[in-house]
Amino acid sequence: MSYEPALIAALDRALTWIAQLCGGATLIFMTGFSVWNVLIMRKVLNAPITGAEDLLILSLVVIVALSIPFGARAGAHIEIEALEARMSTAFAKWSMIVVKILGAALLFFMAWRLWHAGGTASKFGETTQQLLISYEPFYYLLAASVAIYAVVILLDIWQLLRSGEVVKLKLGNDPL
Amino acid sequence: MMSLTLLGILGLLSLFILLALRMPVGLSMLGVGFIGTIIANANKFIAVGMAEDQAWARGLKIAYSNLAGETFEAASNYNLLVIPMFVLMGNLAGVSGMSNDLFSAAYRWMGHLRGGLASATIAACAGFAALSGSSLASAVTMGRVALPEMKKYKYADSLATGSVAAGGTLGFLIPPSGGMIIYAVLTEQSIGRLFMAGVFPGIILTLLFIAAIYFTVIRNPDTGPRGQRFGRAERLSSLVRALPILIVVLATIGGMYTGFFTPVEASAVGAFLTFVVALARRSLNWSASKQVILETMNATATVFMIIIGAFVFIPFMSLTELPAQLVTILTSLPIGEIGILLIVVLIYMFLGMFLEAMAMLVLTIPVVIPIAVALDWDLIWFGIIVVIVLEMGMISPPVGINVFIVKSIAQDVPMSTIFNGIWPFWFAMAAMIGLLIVFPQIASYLPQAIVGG
Repeated sequence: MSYEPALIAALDRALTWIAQLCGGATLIFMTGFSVWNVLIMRKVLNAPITGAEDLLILSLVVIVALSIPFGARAGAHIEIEALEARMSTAFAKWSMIVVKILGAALLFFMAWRLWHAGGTASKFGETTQQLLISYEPFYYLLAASVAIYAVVILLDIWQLLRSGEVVKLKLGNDPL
Repeated sequence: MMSLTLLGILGLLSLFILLALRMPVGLSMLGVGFIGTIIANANKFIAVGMAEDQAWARGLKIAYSNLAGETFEAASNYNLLVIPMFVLMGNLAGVSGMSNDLFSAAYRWMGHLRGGLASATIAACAGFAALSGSSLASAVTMGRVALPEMKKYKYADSLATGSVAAGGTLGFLIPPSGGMIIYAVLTEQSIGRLFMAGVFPGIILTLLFIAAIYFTVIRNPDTGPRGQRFGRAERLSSLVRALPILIVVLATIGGMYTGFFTPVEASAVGAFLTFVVALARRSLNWSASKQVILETMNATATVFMIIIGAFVFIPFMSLTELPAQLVTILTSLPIGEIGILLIVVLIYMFLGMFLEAMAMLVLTIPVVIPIAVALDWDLIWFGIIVVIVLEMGMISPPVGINVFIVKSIAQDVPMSTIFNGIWPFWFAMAAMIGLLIVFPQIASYLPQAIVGG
């Protein structure tokens, strides 16, 4: 029977809570703001909101940043499992550990580069087109998101070493 | 110094090894793309006489810049706003009970015919596909509604499960389609035009699926007995109940085709209208709302991690010039354009046996699109063919994802029975590809008639 360590259970609670609250708020904003801008401001009043596209783009960055670590725990990131059945149990486990170490290293590296790019975003004038909002905090948000994804992978490795399997976060009773 | 073509081949080889070892698709593309960009650029600089240490430093700098820049580019791509919005729309449609109404309406009109319940499943899947861009969501949602009914009327397990698995794939073809959005973004085509191009093939494929059911029950009438016959009043009232679906589809997809909305606006309006329908039906309680948000976040993560990987991998493939070499080799073969297209389709069919559709789409685009461009194929028409071949992969043994989804609902039906049931639908898809090759207007007419060009 699979058993979830307290640390992972706490991470799952935190990621789920953030996804529901912040993700939900962002989705509601994206939908509501977009509909308001299109149907009311543009089509009815012929006065589209200045910078609406900028705000929607930044919302998209937020939703992507929030979804990536949550998806990592929920098994969203697609893996090709066609050959797994042909592997010995030991090979499957250890190759998975090696691959996950590579993946975590790559993600930590990517987080570092995103953080660095955030630091230089203002210097290079990386802003939205109309409202001139700096991309800097959004680079940092993506960097944090990718770093948490890397931590999730490290915890997967820990689970593999402890029990030989990775218990993922379940989204209700849906087979998806 | 390594030749760029060899580097490209090694890159693809490394990618497949990482994928076989179960590294996530997005991360595999990201890793190979990043390392490959360093080596390819360093080689290019060395080739023009730069000192080796300087060349490697420049290569590294470019790859660094690509890694952060392309990631942010993907996450802040305005066109990709349609992904969370259409996913949200599909998830809201799933909890709102619209799927039940769709099946109920189709059932009341077609259920009394031989194989009518299976045909009703296909029709309902096509209707649900217009609300959801996901084949999995379509298969799960319709499977839960339709499989118990078909069991009740003693349908053969193979026909019942096969029709749900195949019907679900329509979610990938009938707009709004997640696969089309990714294809459009990666090939820089218009999402709206692709959606328009998918309408007639979607309708024709739905009819071909129904024809496949018809031939199955003609050959063996026991596979699909007649269901209950309903009176005119009940039929009409079922249509009235399904009316909100029609309104949402007409407002969003119709609004997009008429130019009233852009695809991004249509996706937000669609999500909003579906939300209103779910609210009006009191189906959006706290628990369902949380489920909708989490599933939307989950699907967004799936798509964006793959797109980020593709954004880093595709420039590397272009640097290696491997796609160009492949074009030269293929165009030198004495098989003509149709022969080349058939080779591409056969390769897709083969890969579809092992790879997940979205993964296959992003993995093959860097290699296949240069071939299509070199041969001057209409990329919108070609996109529809690619989407249909990817759909075939979703029900092809041994790893057809829709088959596994149906298996999770019909746990008492053996996998071999489900796979036996999908063949008529698989051949219907093959026929659809044949029709598109012979009559490309099936895909190209609507975008040309509405948008022009």
